[in-house]
Amino acid sequence: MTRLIVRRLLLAIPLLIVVSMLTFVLTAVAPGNPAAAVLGPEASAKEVDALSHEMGLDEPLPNQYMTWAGHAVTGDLGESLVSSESVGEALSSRLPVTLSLVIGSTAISLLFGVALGMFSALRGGSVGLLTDVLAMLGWAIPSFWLGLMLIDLVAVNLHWLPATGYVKFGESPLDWARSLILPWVTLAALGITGIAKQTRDSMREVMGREFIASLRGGGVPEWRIVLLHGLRNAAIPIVTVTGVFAIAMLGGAVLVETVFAMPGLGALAVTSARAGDLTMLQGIVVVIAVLVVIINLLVDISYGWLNPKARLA
Amino acid sequence: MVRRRPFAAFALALLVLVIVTCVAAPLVAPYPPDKTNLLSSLQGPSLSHLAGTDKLGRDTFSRLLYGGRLTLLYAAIVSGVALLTAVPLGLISGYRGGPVDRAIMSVNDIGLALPVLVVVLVVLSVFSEYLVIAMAALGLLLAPPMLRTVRGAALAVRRELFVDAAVVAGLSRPQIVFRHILPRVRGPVLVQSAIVAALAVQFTVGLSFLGFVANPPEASWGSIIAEGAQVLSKSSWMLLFGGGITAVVVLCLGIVGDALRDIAVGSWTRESTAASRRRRGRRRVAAEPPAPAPRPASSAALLAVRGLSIAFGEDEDLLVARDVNFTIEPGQAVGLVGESGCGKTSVARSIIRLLSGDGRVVAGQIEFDGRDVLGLSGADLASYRGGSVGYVAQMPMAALDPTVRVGPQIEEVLRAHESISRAEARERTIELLAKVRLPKPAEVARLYPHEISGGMAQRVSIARAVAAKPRLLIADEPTTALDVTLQAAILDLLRNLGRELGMAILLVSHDLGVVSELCDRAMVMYAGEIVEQGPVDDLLFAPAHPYTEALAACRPSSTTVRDRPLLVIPGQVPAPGDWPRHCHFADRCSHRTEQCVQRPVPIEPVGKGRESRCVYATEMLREGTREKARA
Repeated sequence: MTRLIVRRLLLAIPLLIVVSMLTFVLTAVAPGNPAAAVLGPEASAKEVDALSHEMGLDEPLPNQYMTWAGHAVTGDLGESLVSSESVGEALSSRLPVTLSLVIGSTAISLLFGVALGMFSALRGGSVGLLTDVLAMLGWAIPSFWLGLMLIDLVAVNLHWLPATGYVKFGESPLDWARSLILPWVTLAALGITGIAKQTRDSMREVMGREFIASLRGGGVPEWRIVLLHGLRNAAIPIVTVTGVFAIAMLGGAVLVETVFAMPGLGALAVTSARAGDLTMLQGIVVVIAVLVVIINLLVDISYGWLNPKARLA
Repeated sequence: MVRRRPFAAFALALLVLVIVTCVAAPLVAPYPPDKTNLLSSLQGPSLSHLAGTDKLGRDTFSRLLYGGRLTLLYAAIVSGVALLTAVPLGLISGYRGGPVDRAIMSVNDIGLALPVLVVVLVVLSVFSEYLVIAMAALGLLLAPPMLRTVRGAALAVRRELFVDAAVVAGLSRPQIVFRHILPRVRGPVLVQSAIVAALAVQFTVGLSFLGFVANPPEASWGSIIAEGAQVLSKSSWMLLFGGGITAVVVLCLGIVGDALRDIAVGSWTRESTAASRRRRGRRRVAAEPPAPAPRPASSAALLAVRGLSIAFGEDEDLLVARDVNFTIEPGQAVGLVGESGCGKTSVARSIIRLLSGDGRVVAGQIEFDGRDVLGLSGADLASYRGGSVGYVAQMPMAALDPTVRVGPQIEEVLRAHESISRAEARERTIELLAKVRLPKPAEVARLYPHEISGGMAQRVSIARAVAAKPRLLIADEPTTALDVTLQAAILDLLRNLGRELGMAILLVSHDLGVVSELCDRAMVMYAGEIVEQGPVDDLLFAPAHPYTEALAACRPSSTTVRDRPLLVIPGQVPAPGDWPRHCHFADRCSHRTEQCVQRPVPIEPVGKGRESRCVYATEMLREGTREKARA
């Protein structure tokens, strides 16, 4: 188990290096000067040169990267090209928003997805068909569009919940939850349906296995068989899929945060991309990559917990 | 495809219609995309404006068509890049293997972990003037899952023989890859293409919603959604249509992809074979005579099975067992013998109500101690299972939950039948493990199933089956999966347990010899029917049915008649649904005459406590006696 985790962490290193080099490599091959892009078409050549120097763009590429990386490992991710705000501070103020969104949506997806999938596996018939249809719809409907439709219906027409905005948990836990309900549902739609489908498939497979019949043959109550033996054995692919969807939700946060005007990492990525704020984007990419590594690690650890055989690895 | 999958055909047609209409937008759109008319802004759908108008009075329907052109063009670029990256690299990776494979796959793994949308935003901000580059980057980022699939498929094909043959035939590597492997992986590639195309549409719409794709006044589906979002309080139509068309296209791609996958694997799916078997079964069984009325059982019986017929499949006609009758007295050990596929496991499992999948009893009765077993439900069924009848399954390892320690799996059964504390259950479990002669029972209880051997697993299984002191133990091929040296020990264990607990045993086996070591009586099953039953010694030494005779002769054992050569029964058991109307064994029988293939043969008493389903039973017995007398 420990070896598995160590190997995962070692594999994370090349990922983080590739991700962190992204902007440097891209700027090097891109036509034009990023400093000029930041300053806009009216800037003079002198201003552009000055900013280029400030950004370290006149240095050779490896030096630029090493300087950035040297600061990055100490937690200093540089300054925004646009607002001169510290990237580290900007990210840490926005991270809780994105985490609230993604963790909440993942939890909702897992809860409802597993429930729906189990129901469908055990009952089959029309519920199974419903799961199929929902899974297809959840996959086909663009999440940000679903979010807009929910705003239209629940906020604009019914006035049940605020349409947009985010309230910090510290300010008012209730308003925090109210501001997150629609984004959670929006982002969870994809996860619920995908997890439900996986749950149904693996539950069906497991419930057909011999040990389930043997447990029934021993007179063990059906609820114990389903929840303690069935679900546990079906859990590994479900957890894998949940990890995949959690990562997808980090990406989905870009759109959903924009739709709901939430001050999270995703919305920041969009505004930074519009403004050409490369240092900020660089920081966002690295933070998201770290989150991806953490999600994968959690999935691996849960494998060991769920499957005694994996603990040997 | 149209007839077999009307739904997918419809999706494909719709998809083609949308694509063609969008591409032909300049010809079919009723208005130019940027023709404003402030007098008719934000209208709902009408005959002159099929999808209404936007804030500037532009016709939304026309803008959807022009916007579709742009959206689909970029989605096509994205999918194209993904395909052109994933397919060649996946083929090379799967075909070459070794370091090339490892290199490609480790890069691929990094690609899989990248947050797609955020990376695309980075590319967009660097190459803000060159949207195509960002779209190509998006294509690259969508390639990794597809690459993995193609590699897997190529790997599987490479392992097949015909590629080796191609190598021997002297074809060059690219020739092999592109001429032989590519056509074979076409299925998975098509499926993945549909998925990638759907993702490409979604991402393109998402990016254009964020304002990165279309420059106003140019339209795209995403920009129409964005414009719709701005006027949400006044009109929802643009939002509805812009997202609706996207969802429809993605949905169609998904349905087409699903259908492609089903077609790709369709030739061997269970569904299609089951369906064809059902069709055959229907034709066949219509000719079967109705099962005779169940006979009364002797009152002393612990278990009485009467007129039992079992079917699988959705219809009631794919019989795997027909009109099965037998009884088991308390404490008696009885065998159920036959080749695999004869229906003996189904009969055994029906007694404890454990028929797998959609198997069920379609006729007959099962009585245990005078109680109707088939009518049990809820708590009664749970206490009957394990409490009255114990079950030991065929594969000992498969019968244990791999994620739970051995001990708790037995404790669970104990606690299901008796209200005892956890500690007490643990203690009793260790006693049980000792009773099935496992050394160091307390330690075994703490092990996981993968930490014990097959023989140990079988003992654990037996301990669990007898935990609640059942009066009948059903053991389905308990020794088949085990080492020969272990077989005798397990049989010995069963015999002693039976004696000690006063427990009857139903031993299911393909081996008449194994049955003879444990049982006094046995039933011989062939193709769903009991063909002979009687005392085991009689079955072995004076069979009254050619199938029993053949089974007895198949055994390389000192107990069989020595001067006869070891037999292999020619042919195989006919599959359920393919049973003939006449004697089921006739096609493989060495004694067959005209009489055997004319009508169904009933099972009839032959001598004391014996029954046979053969028209020559009496002759066989007479001849057997004569032979013995000669010897």
